[in-house]
Amino acid sequence: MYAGPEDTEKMAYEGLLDVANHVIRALRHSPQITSRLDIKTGIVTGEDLLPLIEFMELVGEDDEAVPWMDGLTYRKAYEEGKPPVVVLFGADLTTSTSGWDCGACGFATCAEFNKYSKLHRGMGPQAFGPSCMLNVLDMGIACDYACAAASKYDIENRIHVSVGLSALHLEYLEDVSYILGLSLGPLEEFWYYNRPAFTEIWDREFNDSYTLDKFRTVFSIMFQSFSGNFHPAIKSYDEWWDAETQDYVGVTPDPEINEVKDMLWPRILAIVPQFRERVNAIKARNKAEDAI
Amino acid sequence: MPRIHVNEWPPYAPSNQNSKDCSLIAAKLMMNAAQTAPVTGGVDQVEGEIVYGHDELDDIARKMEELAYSLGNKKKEDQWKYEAVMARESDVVLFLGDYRAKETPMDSGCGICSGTPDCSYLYERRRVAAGQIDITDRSLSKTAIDGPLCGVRVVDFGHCVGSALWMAKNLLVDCRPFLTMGIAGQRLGYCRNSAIVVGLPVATTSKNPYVDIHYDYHVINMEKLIDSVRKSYIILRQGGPDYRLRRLSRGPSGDEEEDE
Repeated sequence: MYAGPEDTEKMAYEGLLDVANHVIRALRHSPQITSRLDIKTGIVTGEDLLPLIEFMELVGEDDEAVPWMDGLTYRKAYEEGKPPVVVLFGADLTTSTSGWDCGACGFATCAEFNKYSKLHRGMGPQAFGPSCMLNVLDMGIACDYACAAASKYDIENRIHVSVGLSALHLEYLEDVSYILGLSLGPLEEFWYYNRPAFTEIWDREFNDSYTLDKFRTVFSIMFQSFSGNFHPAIKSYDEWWDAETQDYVGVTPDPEINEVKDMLWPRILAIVPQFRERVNAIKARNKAEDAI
Repeated sequence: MPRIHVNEWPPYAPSNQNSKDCSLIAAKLMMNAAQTAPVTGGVDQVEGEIVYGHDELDDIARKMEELAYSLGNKKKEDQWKYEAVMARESDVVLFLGDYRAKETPMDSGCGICSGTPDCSYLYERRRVAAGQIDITDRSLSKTAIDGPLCGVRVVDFGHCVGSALWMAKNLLVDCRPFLTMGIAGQRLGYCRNSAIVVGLPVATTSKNPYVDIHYDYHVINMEKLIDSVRKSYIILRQGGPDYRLRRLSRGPSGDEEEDE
Protein backbone atom coordinates (compact mmCIF):
# COMPACT_ATOMS: atom_id res chain seq x y z
CA MET A 1 0.00 0.00 0.00
CA TYR A 2 1.12 3.51 -0.66
CA ALA A 3 -0.67 6.64 0.43
CA GLY A 4 0.66 10.00 -0.73
CA PRO A 5 0.20 13.44 0.77
CA GLU A 6 -3.32 13.89 -0.54
CA ASP A 7 -4.45 10.41 0.47
CA THR A 8 -3.00 10.65 3.95
CA GLU A 9 -4.59 14.04 4.49
CA LYS A 10 -7.91 12.63 3.37
CA MET A 11 -7.47 9.65 5.70
CA ALA A 12 -6.63 11.94 8.60
CA TYR A 13 -9.80 13.93 8.00
CA GLU A 14 -11.86 10.74 7.70
CA GLY A 15 -10.34 9.66 11.00
CA LEU A 16 -12.03 12.60 12.67
CA LEU A 17 -15.21 10.53 12.60
CA ASP A 18 -13.49 7.89 14.73
CA VAL A 19 -12.48 10.60 17.18
CA ALA A 20 -16.07 11.85 17.25
CA ASN A 21 -17.13 8.33 18.06
CA HIS A 22 -14.64 8.17 20.91
CA VAL A 23 -15.76 11.56 22.19
CA ILE A 24 -19.34 10.29 22.35
CA ARG A 25 -18.24 7.18 24.23
CA ALA A 26 -16.28 9.35 26.67
CA LEU A 27 -19.14 11.69 27.41
CA ARG A 28 -21.49 8.77 27.93
CA HIS A 29 -18.94 7.36 30.38
CA SER A 30 -18.56 10.62 32.29
CA PRO A 31 -19.09 10.32 36.05
CA GLN A 32 -22.30 12.05 37.05
CA ILE A 33 -23.83 13.55 40.14
CA THR A 34 -27.41 12.63 39.22
CA SER A 35 -26.54 9.63 37.03
CA ARG A 36 -29.90 10.25 35.41
CA LEU A 37 -29.05 12.73 32.67
CA ASP A 38 -30.26 11.42 29.32
CA ILE A 39 -27.63 12.77 26.94
CA LYS A 40 -28.53 12.80 23.27
CA THR A 41 -25.75 13.04 20.74
CA GLY A 42 -25.33 13.77 17.06
CA ILE A 43 -22.56 14.24 14.52
CA VAL A 44 -22.73 16.83 11.75
CA THR A 45 -20.15 17.50 9.07
CA GLY A 46 -19.79 18.25 5.37
CA GLU A 47 -22.60 20.03 3.61
CA ASP A 48 -25.06 19.18 6.37
CA LEU A 49 -23.23 21.88 8.33
CA LEU A 50 -24.42 24.53 5.89
CA PRO A 51 -27.74 25.38 7.57
CA LEU A 52 -25.82 25.78 10.84
CA ILE A 53 -23.17 28.00 9.26
CA GLU A 54 -25.68 30.18 7.42
CA PHE A 55 -27.80 30.51 10.53
CA MET A 56 -24.83 31.66 12.61
CA GLU A 57 -23.88 34.13 9.91
CA LEU A 58 -27.38 35.60 9.90
CA VAL A 59 -27.55 35.80 13.69
CA GLY A 60 -24.05 37.26 13.64
CA GLU A 61 -25.15 40.32 11.74
CA ASP A 62 -25.64 43.42 13.87
CA ASP A 63 -22.68 42.79 16.15
CA GLU A 64 -23.69 39.47 17.69
CA ALA A 65 -20.00 38.79 18.09
CA VAL A 66 -19.80 35.10 19.00
CA PRO A 67 -22.02 33.60 16.25
CA TRP A 68 -20.37 36.01 13.83
CA MET A 69 -16.89 34.78 14.77
CA ASP A 70 -17.89 31.11 14.74
CA GLY A 71 -19.80 31.51 11.48
CA LEU A 72 -16.75 33.09 9.88
CA THR A 73 -14.44 30.39 11.23
CA TYR A 74 -16.70 27.52 10.12
CA ARG A 75 -17.28 29.10 6.71
CA LYS A 76 -13.56 29.30 5.99
CA ALA A 77 -13.02 25.69 7.03
CA TYR A 78 -15.94 24.56 4.87
CA GLU A 79 -14.83 26.49 1.84
CA GLU A 80 -11.30 25.18 2.10
CA GLY A 81 -12.75 21.66 1.98
CA LYS A 82 -11.89 20.79 5.57
CA PRO A 83 -15.13 21.24 7.48
CA PRO A 84 -15.01 20.34 11.16
CA VAL A 85 -16.72 17.21 12.42
CA VAL A 86 -19.14 18.64 14.96
CA VAL A 87 -20.28 16.53 17.87
CA LEU A 88 -23.57 17.84 19.19
CA PHE A 89 -24.64 16.71 22.61
CA GLY A 90 -27.60 17.88 24.59
CA ALA A 91 -30.04 16.91 27.29
CA ASP A 92 -33.33 17.99 28.76
CA LEU A 93 -32.19 19.92 31.81
CA THR A 94 -35.59 21.38 32.68
CA THR A 95 -36.86 18.59 34.90
CA SER A 96 -35.22 17.48 38.11
CA THR A 97 -35.35 13.73 38.53
CA SER A 98 -32.62 13.16 41.07
CA GLY A 99 -34.66 13.94 44.21
CA TRP A 100 -31.79 15.68 46.00
CA ASP A 101 -33.89 18.65 47.12
CA CYS A 102 -30.55 20.43 47.11
CA GLY A 103 -31.86 23.97 46.71
CA ALA A 104 -29.38 25.04 44.03
CA CYS A 105 -32.24 26.18 41.80
CA GLY A 106 -33.65 28.43 44.51
CA PHE A 107 -36.54 26.15 45.51
CA ALA A 108 -36.64 24.08 48.67
CA THR A 109 -37.64 20.87 46.91
CA CYS A 110 -37.36 19.29 43.47
CA ALA A 111 -41.14 19.00 43.34
CA GLU A 112 -41.54 22.76 43.77
CA PHE A 113 -38.93 23.40 41.11
CA ASN A 114 -40.55 20.98 38.67
CA LYS A 115 -43.94 22.59 39.22
CA TYR A 116 -42.44 26.02 38.58
CA SER A 117 -40.39 24.77 35.64
CA LYS A 118 -43.44 23.28 33.92
CA LEU A 119 -45.23 26.64 34.02
CA HIS A 120 -42.31 28.89 33.14
CA ARG A 121 -40.52 27.32 30.20
CA GLY A 122 -38.86 29.92 28.05
CA MET A 123 -35.96 30.83 25.87
CA GLY A 124 -33.37 33.37 26.93
CA PRO A 125 -30.80 34.83 24.57
CA GLN A 126 -28.47 31.91 25.13
CA ALA A 127 -30.38 29.00 26.61
CA PHE A 128 -33.70 27.36 27.26
CA GLY A 129 -34.82 27.18 30.89
CA PRO A 130 -35.45 26.87 33.75
CA SER A 131 -32.84 24.19 34.43
CA CYS A 132 -32.13 21.92 37.37
CA MET A 133 -28.66 22.92 38.53
CA LEU A 134 -27.56 19.34 39.14
CA ASN A 135 -28.48 18.53 35.55
CA VAL A 136 -26.46 21.55 34.47
CA LEU A 137 -23.52 20.33 36.55
CA ASP A 138 -23.71 16.88 34.96
CA MET A 139 -23.91 18.46 31.54
CA GLY A 140 -20.73 20.35 32.42
CA ILE A 141 -18.94 17.19 33.52
CA ALA A 142 -20.01 15.38 30.35
CA CYS A 143 -18.79 18.33 28.29
CA ASP A 144 -15.40 18.27 29.98
CA TYR A 145 -15.04 14.55 29.34
CA ALA A 146 -15.86 15.08 25.69
CA CYS A 147 -13.25 17.82 25.36
CA ALA A 148 -10.60 15.91 27.31
CA ALA A 149 -11.16 12.90 25.06
CA ALA A 150 -10.70 15.07 21.97
CA SER A 151 -7.57 16.57 23.51
CA LYS A 152 -6.05 13.10 23.95
CA TYR A 153 -6.19 12.69 20.20
CA ASP A 154 -4.24 15.89 19.66
CA ILE A 155 -6.63 17.52 17.29
CA GLU A 156 -7.81 21.09 17.14
CA ASN A 157 -11.09 21.33 19.02
CA ARG A 158 -13.31 23.85 20.74
CA ILE A 159 -16.58 23.76 22.58
CA HIS A 160 -19.12 26.29 21.30
CA VAL A 161 -22.27 27.55 22.96
CA SER A 162 -23.14 29.37 19.72
CA VAL A 163 -23.08 26.15 17.67
CA GLY A 164 -25.12 24.31 20.31
CA LEU A 165 -27.65 27.11 20.53
CA SER A 166 -28.02 27.26 16.75
CA ALA A 167 -28.46 23.48 16.64
CA LEU A 168 -31.13 23.81 19.30
CA HIS A 169 -32.99 26.43 17.28
CA LEU A 170 -32.75 24.34 14.12
CA GLU A 171 -33.65 21.10 15.94
CA TYR A 172 -30.63 19.09 14.92
CA LEU A 173 -31.40 17.22 18.17
CA GLU A 174 -34.91 16.90 19.54
CA ASP A 175 -36.37 16.67 23.06
CA VAL A 176 -33.47 18.52 24.60
CA SER A 177 -33.34 21.90 26.28
CA TYR A 178 -29.64 22.57 25.87
CA ILE A 179 -27.03 21.62 23.32
CA LEU A 180 -23.29 22.19 23.13
CA GLY A 181 -21.27 21.76 19.97
CA LEU A 182 -17.75 20.35 20.00
CA SER A 183 -15.80 21.01 16.81
CA LEU A 184 -13.20 18.43 15.90
CA GLY A 185 -10.77 19.71 13.28
CA PRO A 186 -9.74 21.24 10.90
CA LEU A 187 -6.40 19.55 11.48
CA GLU A 188 -4.49 22.76 12.08
CA GLU A 189 -3.01 24.54 15.04
CA PHE A 190 -5.15 27.24 16.69
CA TRP A 191 -8.01 27.25 14.19
CA TYR A 192 -10.44 28.33 16.89
CA TYR A 193 -8.10 30.39 19.01
CA ASN A 194 -5.86 32.69 17.08
CA ARG A 195 -8.35 32.08 14.26
CA PRO A 196 -6.75 32.23 10.82
CA ALA A 197 -10.18 33.29 9.55
CA PHE A 198 -9.71 36.50 11.52
CA THR A 199 -6.06 36.95 10.80
CA GLU A 200 -6.94 37.05 7.11
CA ILE A 201 -9.42 39.91 7.39
CA TRP A 202 -7.61 41.73 10.18
CA ASP A 203 -5.83 44.40 8.18
CA ARG A 204 -5.15 47.94 9.33
CA GLU A 205 -8.56 49.13 8.14
CA PHE A 206 -10.42 46.37 9.97
CA ASN A 207 -8.35 47.00 13.07
CA ASP A 208 -9.01 50.72 13.12
CA SER A 209 -12.64 50.68 12.06
CA TYR A 210 -13.88 47.59 13.86
CA THR A 211 -11.77 46.34 16.73
CA LEU A 212 -10.28 49.63 17.76
CA ASP A 213 -13.74 51.09 17.75
CA LYS A 214 -14.94 48.33 20.07
CA PHE A 215 -11.89 48.66 22.27
CA ARG A 216 -12.46 52.37 22.61
CA THR A 217 -16.03 51.71 23.69
CA VAL A 218 -15.07 49.10 26.24
CA PHE A 219 -11.72 50.28 27.50
CA SER A 220 -11.79 53.99 26.88
CA ILE A 221 -12.20 55.14 30.44
CA MET A 222 -9.45 52.78 31.50
CA PHE A 223 -6.90 53.56 28.85
CA GLN A 224 -7.60 56.58 26.83
CA SER A 225 -9.15 59.15 29.11
CA PHE A 226 -7.47 62.08 30.75
CA SER A 227 -7.67 61.46 34.48
CA GLY A 228 -9.29 63.59 37.12
CA ASN A 229 -12.18 64.94 35.13
CA PHE A 230 -15.90 64.22 35.26
CA HIS A 231 -16.12 64.57 31.50
CA PRO A 232 -12.99 62.78 30.51
CA ALA A 233 -11.67 63.66 27.12
CA ILE A 234 -10.53 60.65 25.16
CA LYS A 235 -7.13 60.34 23.60
CA SER A 236 -7.56 58.75 20.21
CA TYR A 237 -4.87 56.72 18.54
CA ASP A 238 -4.41 59.56 16.13
CA GLU A 239 -3.02 62.85 17.21
CA TRP A 240 -5.94 64.00 19.28
CA TRP A 241 -4.45 67.44 19.84
CA ASP A 242 -4.88 68.18 16.15
CA ALA A 243 -8.44 66.89 15.89
CA GLU A 244 -11.17 69.41 15.15
CA THR A 245 -13.56 68.03 17.73
CA GLN A 246 -12.80 66.28 20.98
CA ASP A 247 -14.35 62.87 21.85
CA TYR A 248 -15.73 62.26 25.34
CA VAL A 249 -16.95 59.28 27.33
CA GLY A 250 -20.49 59.36 28.60
CA VAL A 251 -23.50 57.19 29.34
CA THR A 252 -26.35 58.11 27.01
CA PRO A 253 -29.41 56.33 25.66
CA ASP A 254 -28.81 54.75 22.28
CA PRO A 255 -32.12 54.11 20.50
CA GLU A 256 -30.33 52.74 17.47
CA ILE A 257 -28.64 49.96 19.42
CA ASN A 258 -31.85 49.37 21.36
CA GLU A 259 -33.69 48.78 18.15
CA VAL A 260 -31.09 46.33 16.91
CA LYS A 261 -31.17 44.43 20.21
CA ASP A 262 -34.98 44.40 20.28
CA MET A 263 -35.11 43.08 16.76
CA LEU A 264 -32.68 40.21 17.37
CA TRP A 265 -35.28 37.78 18.72
CA PRO A 266 -37.95 38.49 16.07
CA ARG A 267 -35.22 38.26 13.46
CA ILE A 268 -34.22 34.79 14.70
CA LEU A 269 -37.83 33.60 14.92
CA ALA A 270 -38.43 34.77 11.38
CA ILE A 271 -35.54 32.84 9.89
CA VAL A 272 -35.80 29.68 12.01
CA PRO A 273 -38.65 27.91 10.11
CA GLN A 274 -36.92 27.87 6.73
CA PHE A 275 -33.74 26.54 8.33
CA ARG A 276 -35.66 23.89 10.25
CA GLU A 277 -37.12 22.67 7.00
CA ARG A 278 -33.63 22.10 5.64
CA VAL A 279 -32.53 20.29 8.80
CA ASN A 280 -35.66 18.14 8.72
CA ALA A 281 -34.84 17.22 5.14
CA ILE A 282 -31.35 16.22 6.26
CA LYS A 283 -32.80 14.09 9.03
CA ALA A 284 -35.36 12.48 6.70
CA ARG A 285 -32.61 11.65 4.21
CA ASN A 286 -30.58 10.11 7.02
CA LYS A 287 -33.56 8.00 8.12
CA ALA A 288 -34.16 6.80 4.58
CA GLU A 289 -30.48 5.85 4.27
CA ASP A 290 -30.66 3.93 7.53
CA ALA A 291 -33.70 2.02 6.29
CA ILE A 292 -31.89 0.72 3.23
CA MET B 1 -4.90 20.70 59.74
CA PRO B 2 -3.13 22.26 56.80
CA ARG B 3 -5.29 23.78 54.10
CA ILE B 4 -4.30 24.53 50.54
CA HIS B 5 -6.45 27.16 48.87
CA VAL B 6 -5.94 28.13 45.26
CA ASN B 7 -7.22 31.13 43.38
CA GLU B 8 -5.92 32.78 40.27
CA TRP B 9 -6.45 36.31 41.52
CA PRO B 10 -4.71 38.33 42.82
CA PRO B 11 -1.48 37.13 41.23
CA TYR B 12 1.32 36.17 43.60
CA ALA B 13 -1.01 36.17 46.62
CA PRO B 14 -0.61 33.00 48.74
CA SER B 15 -3.64 31.34 47.09
CA ASN B 16 -2.16 31.94 43.67
CA GLN B 17 1.30 30.93 44.84
CA ASN B 18 -0.14 27.49 45.65
CA SER B 19 -1.05 26.89 42.03
CA LYS B 20 2.19 28.48 40.82
CA ASP B 21 4.03 25.95 42.97
CA CYS B 22 2.28 23.19 41.04
CA SER B 23 3.17 24.82 37.73
CA LEU B 24 6.74 24.54 38.94
CA ILE B 25 6.28 20.80 39.49
CA ALA B 26 4.78 20.55 35.99
CA ALA B 27 7.80 22.39 34.54
CA LYS B 28 10.15 20.02 36.36
CA LEU B 29 8.34 17.02 34.89
CA MET B 30 8.50 18.66 31.47
CA MET B 31 12.24 19.08 31.90
CA ASN B 32 12.58 15.38 32.64
CA ALA B 33 10.37 14.51 29.66
CA ALA B 34 12.74 16.52 27.48
CA GLN B 35 15.66 14.48 28.80
CA THR B 36 13.99 11.18 27.94
CA ALA B 37 13.10 12.28 24.41
CA PRO B 38 14.50 10.02 21.69
CA VAL B 39 17.63 11.53 20.14
CA THR B 40 20.05 10.29 17.51
CA GLY B 41 22.26 7.61 18.97
CA GLY B 42 20.93 8.34 22.44
CA VAL B 43 23.60 11.00 22.90
CA ASP B 44 22.84 13.50 25.66
CA GLN B 45 22.54 17.02 24.33
CA VAL B 46 19.72 18.85 26.05
CA GLU B 47 20.08 21.09 29.07
CA GLY B 48 17.21 22.69 30.94
CA GLU B 49 16.80 25.52 33.37
CA ILE B 50 13.71 26.60 35.26
CA VAL B 51 13.01 30.20 36.21
CA TYR B 52 10.17 31.41 38.35
CA GLY B 53 9.19 34.31 40.55
CA HIS B 54 7.84 37.76 39.75
CA ASP B 55 11.14 39.59 39.39
CA GLU B 56 12.86 36.77 37.54
CA LEU B 57 10.10 36.57 34.92
CA ASP B 58 10.09 40.35 34.66
CA ASP B 59 13.83 40.23 33.95
CA ILE B 60 13.16 37.90 31.03
CA ALA B 61 10.36 40.15 29.74
CA ARG B 62 12.60 43.22 29.96
CA LYS B 63 15.33 41.45 28.04
CA MET B 64 12.77 40.53 25.37
CA GLU B 65 11.66 44.14 25.14
CA GLU B 66 15.26 45.24 24.81
CA LEU B 67 15.89 42.72 22.03
CA ALA B 68 12.72 43.88 20.27
CA TYR B 69 14.64 47.03 19.42
CA SER B 70 18.30 46.12 19.63
CA LEU B 71 18.13 43.27 17.10
CA GLY B 72 16.72 45.81 14.68
CA ASN B 73 14.25 43.47 12.97
CA LYS B 74 11.22 45.67 12.39
CA LYS B 75 9.09 42.76 11.21
CA LYS B 76 9.47 40.96 14.52
CA GLU B 77 9.43 43.96 16.84
CA ASP B 78 5.78 43.57 17.84
CA GLN B 79 6.15 39.85 18.34
CA TRP B 80 8.98 40.37 20.83
CA LYS B 81 6.96 42.95 22.73
CA TYR B 82 3.71 40.97 22.80
CA GLU B 83 5.48 37.83 23.92
CA ALA B 84 7.22 39.75 26.68
CA VAL B 85 3.77 40.29 28.20
CA MET B 86 3.20 36.54 28.03
CA ALA B 87 6.44 35.97 29.95
CA ARG B 88 5.14 38.24 32.71
CA GLU B 89 1.81 36.40 32.77
CA SER B 90 3.45 33.00 33.16
CA ASP B 91 4.00 31.07 36.36
CA VAL B 92 7.27 29.47 35.35
CA VAL B 93 9.53 29.55 32.33
CA LEU B 94 11.37 26.38 31.37
CA PHE B 95 14.37 26.94 29.13
CA LEU B 96 15.60 24.07 27.04
CA GLY B 97 18.86 24.30 25.12
CA ASP B 98 20.92 22.02 22.93
CA TYR B 99 24.56 22.23 23.94
CA ARG B 100 25.87 20.08 21.10
CA ALA B 101 24.31 21.82 18.10
CA LYS B 102 27.14 24.35 17.80
CA GLU B 103 30.18 22.75 19.41
CA THR B 104 29.93 18.98 18.93
CA PRO B 105 27.94 18.15 15.80
CA MET B 106 26.80 14.66 14.94
CA ASP B 107 29.64 14.36 12.35
CA SER B 108 27.70 12.02 10.13
CA GLY B 109 28.11 14.04 6.95
CA CYS B 110 24.39 13.81 6.47
CA GLY B 111 23.95 16.99 4.46
CA ILE B 112 20.87 18.31 6.21
CA CYS B 113 22.50 21.65 7.08
CA SER B 114 23.95 22.39 3.66
CA GLY B 115 23.42 19.67 1.09
CA THR B 116 27.12 18.80 1.18
CA PRO B 117 28.22 15.35 2.31
CA ASP B 118 31.15 16.08 4.62
CA CYS B 119 30.15 18.56 7.37
CA SER B 120 32.52 21.04 5.71
CA TYR B 121 29.83 23.71 5.64
CA LEU B 122 29.74 23.70 9.43
CA TYR B 123 33.49 23.50 10.06
CA GLU B 124 34.42 26.08 7.43
CA ARG B 125 32.35 28.66 9.25
CA ARG B 126 33.83 28.03 12.69
CA ARG B 127 37.16 28.46 14.37
CA VAL B 128 38.62 24.93 14.30
CA ALA B 129 41.61 23.38 16.05
CA ALA B 130 42.63 19.72 15.93
CA GLY B 131 39.36 18.88 14.16
CA GLN B 132 37.40 20.34 17.02
CA ILE B 133 35.19 23.42 16.94
CA ASP B 134 36.71 26.07 19.16
CA ILE B 135 33.96 28.00 20.92
CA THR B 136 36.14 30.03 23.21
CA ASP B 137 35.44 33.19 21.22
CA ARG B 138 32.14 34.05 22.83
CA SER B 139 31.72 37.51 21.38
CA LEU B 140 28.02 37.74 20.63
CA SER B 141 26.91 36.91 17.13
CA LYS B 142 25.13 39.58 15.14
CA THR B 143 22.13 37.32 14.63
CA ALA B 144 19.73 36.10 17.29
CA ILE B 145 21.17 32.60 17.09
CA ASP B 146 24.87 31.89 16.58
CA GLY B 147 24.85 29.57 13.54
CA PRO B 148 25.50 27.46 11.62
CA LEU B 149 24.22 24.61 13.73
CA CYS B 150 24.25 20.86 13.21
CA GLY B 151 20.90 19.92 11.67
CA VAL B 152 20.81 16.49 13.27
CA ARG B 153 21.22 18.04 16.69
CA VAL B 154 18.50 20.58 15.96
CA VAL B 155 16.07 17.86 14.88
CA ASP B 156 16.88 16.00 18.08
CA PHE B 157 16.37 19.19 20.01
CA GLY B 158 12.93 19.38 18.41
CA HIS B 159 12.15 15.98 19.90
CA CYS B 160 13.17 17.28 23.33
CA VAL B 161 11.00 20.38 23.08
CA GLY B 162 8.16 18.24 21.73
CA SER B 163 8.36 15.83 24.65
CA ALA B 164 8.24 18.72 27.11
CA LEU B 165 5.18 20.15 25.35
CA TRP B 166 3.55 16.75 25.29
CA MET B 167 4.05 16.45 29.03
CA ALA B 168 2.53 19.92 29.54
CA LYS B 169 -0.48 18.90 27.50
CA ASN B 170 -0.97 15.76 29.55
CA LEU B 171 -0.71 17.71 32.79
CA LEU B 172 -3.32 20.17 31.46
CA VAL B 173 -1.13 23.23 31.96
CA ASP B 174 -0.92 25.87 29.24
CA CYS B 175 2.36 26.06 27.40
CA ARG B 176 3.75 27.10 24.03
CA PRO B 177 7.29 27.11 22.65
CA PHE B 178 8.81 30.58 22.19
CA LEU B 179 12.03 31.38 20.39
CA THR B 180 11.92 34.97 21.65
CA MET B 181 11.88 33.86 25.26
CA GLY B 182 14.63 31.33 24.56
CA ILE B 183 16.95 33.90 23.01
CA ALA B 184 16.30 36.36 25.85
CA GLY B 185 16.92 33.63 28.42
CA GLN B 186 20.15 32.62 26.77
CA ARG B 187 21.38 36.22 26.78
CA LEU B 188 20.56 36.37 30.48
CA GLY B 189 22.81 33.36 31.02
CA TYR B 190 20.27 30.57 31.26
CA CYS B 191 21.21 27.34 29.46
CA ARG B 192 24.53 29.00 28.86
CA ASN B 193 26.18 26.04 27.14
CA SER B 194 23.65 26.07 24.33
CA ALA B 195 23.66 27.98 21.05
CA ILE B 196 19.94 27.39 20.58
CA VAL B 197 17.48 27.82 23.43
CA VAL B 198 13.70 27.63 23.44
CA GLY B 199 11.55 29.12 26.19
CA LEU B 200 8.56 27.13 27.37
CA PRO B 201 6.44 29.26 29.66
CA VAL B 202 3.93 27.42 31.83
CA ALA B 203 0.73 28.94 33.14
CA THR B 204 -2.11 27.59 35.22
CA THR B 205 -4.89 30.05 34.49
CA SER B 206 -8.44 29.91 33.22
CA LYS B 207 -7.51 31.73 30.06
CA ASN B 208 -4.55 30.42 28.14
CA PRO B 209 -2.30 33.52 28.15
CA TYR B 210 -0.54 32.49 24.95
CA VAL B 211 -3.46 32.71 22.50
CA ASP B 212 -5.98 35.30 21.34
CA ILE B 213 -3.57 38.22 21.36
CA HIS B 214 -4.77 41.48 19.89
CA TYR B 215 -2.77 44.32 18.42
CA ASP B 216 -0.94 46.72 20.73
CA TYR B 217 -0.90 43.96 23.32
CA HIS B 218 2.25 45.41 24.86
CA VAL B 219 0.28 48.46 26.03
CA ILE B 220 -3.22 47.00 26.25
CA ASN B 221 -3.22 43.96 28.51
CA MET B 222 -4.63 42.93 31.87
CA GLU B 223 -1.82 44.39 33.95
CA LYS B 224 -1.88 47.75 32.17
CA LEU B 225 -5.67 47.83 32.19
CA ILE B 226 -5.90 47.39 35.94
CA ASP B 227 -3.21 49.96 36.49
CA SER B 228 -5.14 52.42 34.33
CA VAL B 229 -8.28 51.89 36.41
CA ARG B 230 -6.28 52.59 39.55
CA LYS B 231 -4.79 55.67 37.99
CA SER B 232 -8.21 57.11 37.08
CA TYR B 233 -10.27 55.99 40.05
CA ILE B 234 -7.83 57.17 42.69
CA ILE B 235 -8.03 60.70 41.35
CA LEU B 236 -11.82 60.75 41.03
CA ARG B 237 -12.54 59.54 44.59
CA GLN B 238 -11.03 62.73 45.97
CA GLY B 239 -14.49 64.33 45.73
CA GLY B 240 -15.88 62.14 48.53
CA PRO B 241 -17.80 63.59 51.52
CA ASP B 242 -17.26 62.76 55.20
CA TYR B 243 -19.31 59.56 55.46
CA ARG B 244 -19.39 59.94 59.28
CA LEU B 245 -21.36 63.17 59.07
CA ARG B 246 -23.61 62.54 56.11
CA ARG B 247 -25.55 59.35 55.45
CA LEU B 248 -27.69 58.87 52.34
CA SER B 249 -30.76 56.67 51.97
CA ARG B 250 -30.63 53.90 49.38
CA GLY B 251 -33.98 54.44 47.79
CA PRO B 252 -37.56 53.43 48.61
CA SER B 253 -37.13 49.63 48.46
CA GLY B 254 -34.07 49.49 50.69
CA ASP B 255 -33.55 52.02 53.38
CA GLU B 256 -36.55 54.05 54.49
CA GLU B 257 -34.56 56.71 56.29
CA GLU B 258 -34.41 60.19 54.85
CA ASP B 259 -31.13 61.79 53.88
CA GLU B 260 -29.55 63.28 56.94
